[in-house]
Amino acid sequence: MAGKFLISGSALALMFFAGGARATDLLPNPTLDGGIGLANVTISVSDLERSTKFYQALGFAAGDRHEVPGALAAKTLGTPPDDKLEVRFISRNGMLIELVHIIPSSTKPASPGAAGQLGLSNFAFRVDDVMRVAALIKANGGTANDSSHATMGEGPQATEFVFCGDPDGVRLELVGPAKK
Amino acid sequence: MGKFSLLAAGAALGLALTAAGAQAAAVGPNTTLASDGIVVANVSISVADLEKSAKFYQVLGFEAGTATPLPPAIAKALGAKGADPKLEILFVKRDGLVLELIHFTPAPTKKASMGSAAELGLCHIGLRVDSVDRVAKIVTENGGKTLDKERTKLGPMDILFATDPDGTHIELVGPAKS
Repeated sequence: MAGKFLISGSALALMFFAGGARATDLLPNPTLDGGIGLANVTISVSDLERSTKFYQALGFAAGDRHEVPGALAAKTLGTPPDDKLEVRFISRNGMLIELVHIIPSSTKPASPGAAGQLGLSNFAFRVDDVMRVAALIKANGGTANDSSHATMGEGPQATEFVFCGDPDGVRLELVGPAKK
Repeated sequence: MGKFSLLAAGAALGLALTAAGAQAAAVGPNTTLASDGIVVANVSISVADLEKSAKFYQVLGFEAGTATPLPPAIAKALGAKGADPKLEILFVKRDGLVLELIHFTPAPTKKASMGSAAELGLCHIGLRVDSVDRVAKIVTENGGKTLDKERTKLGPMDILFATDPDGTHIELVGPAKS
C-alpha cells in the first residue's frame, strides 16, 4: 500500500482506507506542495447527523461516517480512553471540513469568536443575499444574530453582512450585496 | 444583478479594503459564487500579533497579503468592546484555503481553544506533510510548539499535534519512518 497512501491520506483518512471505505467517500486534500498540503479544517460538533444536515443545507457535499479507535482519539485529541470518536468530511468549493464528534460530547460551547478569544474564530461565506441564506441557516438548526446585521459603504460598493451560528454556535459570517 | 456581481464577488472585509482605497490585495477571500449563490470565502483566526502570525504561516508555505485596517463597525460586529476598537486583518492562502488573520488592539487575552476534546466548534487545521520531523522543526523555529508527548505512530502514519504562536492547534500527518 504504502507510498501512495502514506502521502495521499491524512491520519484519519488512512484508517478509513484500511477499513475499506468507499473510493467515492470524501477524504482530505491529497496534494503535497513543498512537502506540505493543507488537508482540512476541523470542527468539533455535539451531534454528527445534525451538523451534517446543517452544512448540507449550505451546499456542502457529505462523505461517509467513520469511527476512529478510542485509543487513537485518546492519544491525539486528549479524550478519555473509553470515549468514542466519529468523523465525517464535508466539502464545498474545494474546502474540506472535518466534523468530529466525541461521545460523550463536549459541553463547552464554541469560541465566541475573534474579539473574545485568540485562535480559530469564524467561517466566512460570500452569498448572493444575506437574508436568504440567514433564513436557510435558521430553518436548519442554526441561528442568526440579527443585531449584527449591518450595511457598510455606499453605492455599488455597499455590502451587507450578518453573523450567524451553526447548531453548536460556530460563528458563520455572511457577506453579500447591500439591498437598495 | 450584473452590477452587483462585483459586490457579490467581494467579501465584506475585502470590499472595505476597496472602499478605503487600499490597493487591491494579491491575497484575499475566495470571490466566485457557486450556482446556489454561496461560496466559502475564508476561515478566520484571531491572533495576538499580526506580523508574527503572518510570518509563521508564511514559513508553512502560505502566501500572505498585506495588513489592512478595518472600520470600528466591523470590529464591533466581531465582538470588540469600547468606542473606537482597532482591527486590522491580513489574508494568507495555500492549497485553495484562505485564512484571514484578525488582530484587535488590544488583543484578546483568552487563549485559543484546546481543541475538539475540550470544546465544541472550530478546533484545528490539518496539514499533510512529507516529514513530520522536518515540519515540526519549522513550527518550533517560528514561534509555534509541538505536543511531543502525544506524538502517535499509527500503522503507516506519524501524527503530531502542534500549535501556532497563539495556541491554535495544527495537526501534522506524515509517513511513519520505518
